[in-house]
Amino acid sequence: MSMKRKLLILLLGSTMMVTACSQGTANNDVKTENNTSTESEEFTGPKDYRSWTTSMSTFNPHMYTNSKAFSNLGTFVAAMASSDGSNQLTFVPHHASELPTSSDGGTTWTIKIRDGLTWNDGTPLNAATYEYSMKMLLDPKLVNKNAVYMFDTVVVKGAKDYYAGNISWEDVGVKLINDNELQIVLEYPATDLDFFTSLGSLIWPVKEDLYEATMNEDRTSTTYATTLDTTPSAGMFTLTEWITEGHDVHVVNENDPLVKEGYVHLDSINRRYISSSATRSEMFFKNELDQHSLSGDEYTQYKNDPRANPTLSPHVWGYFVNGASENKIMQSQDFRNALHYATPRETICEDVYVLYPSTPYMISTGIYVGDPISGGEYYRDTAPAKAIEEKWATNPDKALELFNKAYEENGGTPVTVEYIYFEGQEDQKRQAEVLQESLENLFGKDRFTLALRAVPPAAAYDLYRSGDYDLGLGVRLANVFNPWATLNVWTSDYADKYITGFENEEFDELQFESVYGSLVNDIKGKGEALARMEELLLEYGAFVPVMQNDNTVMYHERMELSTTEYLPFIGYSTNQLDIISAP
Amino acid sequence: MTKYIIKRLIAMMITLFIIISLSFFAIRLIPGDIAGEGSSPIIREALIQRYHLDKSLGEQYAIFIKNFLSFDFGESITLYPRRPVFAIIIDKIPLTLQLNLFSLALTIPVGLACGIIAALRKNTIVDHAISTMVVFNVSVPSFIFASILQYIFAYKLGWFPFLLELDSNFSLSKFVSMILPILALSFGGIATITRYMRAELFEALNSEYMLLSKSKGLSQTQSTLRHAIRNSFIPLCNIIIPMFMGLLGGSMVVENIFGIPGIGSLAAGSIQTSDYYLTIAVLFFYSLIGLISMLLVDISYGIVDPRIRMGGKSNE
Repeated sequence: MSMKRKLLILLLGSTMMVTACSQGTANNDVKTENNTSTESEEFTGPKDYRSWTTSMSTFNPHMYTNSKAFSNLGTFVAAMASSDGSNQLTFVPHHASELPTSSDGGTTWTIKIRDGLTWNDGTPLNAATYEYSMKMLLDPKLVNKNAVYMFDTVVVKGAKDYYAGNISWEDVGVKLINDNELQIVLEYPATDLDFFTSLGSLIWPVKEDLYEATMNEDRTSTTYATTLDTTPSAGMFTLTEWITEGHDVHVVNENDPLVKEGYVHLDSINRRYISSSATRSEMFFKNELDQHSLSGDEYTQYKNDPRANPTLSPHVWGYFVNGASENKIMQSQDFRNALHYATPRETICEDVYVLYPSTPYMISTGIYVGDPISGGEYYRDTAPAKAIEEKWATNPDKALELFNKAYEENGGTPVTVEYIYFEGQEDQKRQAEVLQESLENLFGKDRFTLALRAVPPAAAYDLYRSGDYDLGLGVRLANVFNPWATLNVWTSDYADKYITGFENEEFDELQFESVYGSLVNDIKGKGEALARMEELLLEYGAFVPVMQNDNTVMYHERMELSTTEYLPFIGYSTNQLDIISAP
Repeated sequence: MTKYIIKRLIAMMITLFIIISLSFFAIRLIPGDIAGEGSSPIIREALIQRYHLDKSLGEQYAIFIKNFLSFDFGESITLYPRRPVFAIIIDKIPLTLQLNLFSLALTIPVGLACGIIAALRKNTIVDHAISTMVVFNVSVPSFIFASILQYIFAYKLGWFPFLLELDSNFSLSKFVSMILPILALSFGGIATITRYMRAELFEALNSEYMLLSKSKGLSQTQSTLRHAIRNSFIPLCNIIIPMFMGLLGGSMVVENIFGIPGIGSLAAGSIQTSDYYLTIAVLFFYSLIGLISMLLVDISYGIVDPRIRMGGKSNE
């Protein structure tokens, strides 16, 4: 065979492979949806270009990991920024025709669904759709992760038992009254706020025929909403393009009730998954992205920029302290409190993380007590919370005094404490080194050694569960409006505890009463209970708080936000923003 | 040859079986939480039962092998919930392959050309320049190249887009968006091929058969093209074929920088999220690629150099 023929064959082969690859991509991923009425149009209005740092691997509302992704689906109630420009959070009925109402002291809820709701292919969406969705969400064979929304903040009667396969659906507190009405019975009373922010806005409908069609034979798994073809829309936007871990395009749905009511100004949202922060940053400053979360270095440069908007995280990061450790010094409350007062949280936040504020407290500044609509305030602005902040502020002198006491009680022999941080993250390593240097200098290198140990995050949490650690970095997630519910992780009988040795009857009782009992509707009482619970944890020294991971997001000048203040639960409500000029 | 290939294929299947068995046990030893940190204990318990993690390791292995032998590779647990792992890999291959084929189309000719020029102009300024380029390309990792290219040509000059265009149809704009990642992926490969080619060709040029060919009347150019370069290609099979197969593996960092939803980040992502079945499937895929490329290398020796025959019995 001549060289020319060989080259020709090679060239043809390469061309065929490249063509095959591009066709493969087309067949597998990028398909313009056939069943949408808004496809392939040339958009003339405002488009918002966003980046995602976490990829969208599924639009299945029973399996998702990012609730903000669901621009294509609606819920009973939507949390929105008030449209009158008053920088106020408001709850508006979305698929419901009016806000859900309760009876029996907050245990029975009635939800009326709007007439004429449809999926993007015209199929009707009604109360039965929601009932089916909740039934599938809790299906014991499917084992959906998001079933937790049915028995977390508010507990639907029988939901846990049905999920465990112990009772039939008829015994669950979800009743279809008629095509437009659902009744939900809870095991414990819930406030409007709790209901709206949990079941009201986290239960999404699924399209029954498609859900059934994508189910496997033994009904243990479904591929619903894992490709564009299997992802229907019924929300403020319609999903028209989606490449897993690539990009997605949402086009405004003119038939959506909230769009009709003028809550949405965007014509489309084009999102691209970009894991590299450097790429996101360059694209934002080149006007190719409309919003961008600042990194630490950028924060120093742009924190006073008018485009920079601070956010409040409800979570506080810090060190789990194992008072039940075999290391005797860890069993000393004085020593644990010494660790609290000695931790150089201000230095760590200023020199290492830059972006995050330091926290001598366990409940973040993002936690809200009460109802933001009818009256409430950020917890850290309350008097008891301020007193805690003052009492537990970093205090090296007090730390040394407590350490000396614990040291003597420990027999006056040098002590070594092992500190676990997450490997592969430069920030974590630096903060560990700052902590090590600071503690050893304060307590005396001849008396105290902090041994550093880097482990993968998952392994670190496994060690906290087993109790085989002294001190370790981590976080327990918190609910913005219901911190009492998420403090259940510190109760004595919590099934998935990180071992710290903290067990306190008063704490357990306050937690139960605040979430399910007599304090549910007592805002003042719940606020005081929260302060007491925080105090109990700090006194024992179960957790040394260090920082809260607040972000600062930059929005281009051409974007007009619907709220100029950060609102709890919805932030700057970016689905409602408007774009007032061309890029 | 056929007998040899059949033997190798059988050995390959046994090796694959051992690899997936070892992968299964190794992955189970990695700590992690399939339910995700902070998830409800009830959900965690239900997921543990669903994926048989409450059973003994032996029982889990038996279930896994039974399913595996019936081509049921399982479903993704955390990264792509409920999607069959095989489908995930298949979905990602086309984009990775498309990008890397272009990269290879640049790498091989440029690498060969540089190697040949350097060998023919050994110890001249051209050779030194190429050698400097080789050292630079080998030393600097591809993600540094990727970041620099993106910063200069996309951010500063605006000549190319930041990200790979994900349009399903192949177009000029899509090709333009592929140029930066192609370059970032190619530099290392070009350096490797150049280095090998230069060394092999230089050795061939000084061999006795070159002297013979010239004494038979061939010119320097004819001898080089017909004999020296062809003989230099034999050891190159050892790197070019694995390089071609390795393309299927993608490049995690380059994919991250240019927003390419390819296969490169699957392995790391699945291990980080304790996505057991996906991790095993990815390891299986990489092992398969490795074993096939080794087989192809061995077979290719016989094709490039007919003096080498595989599987034939010795006449001695």
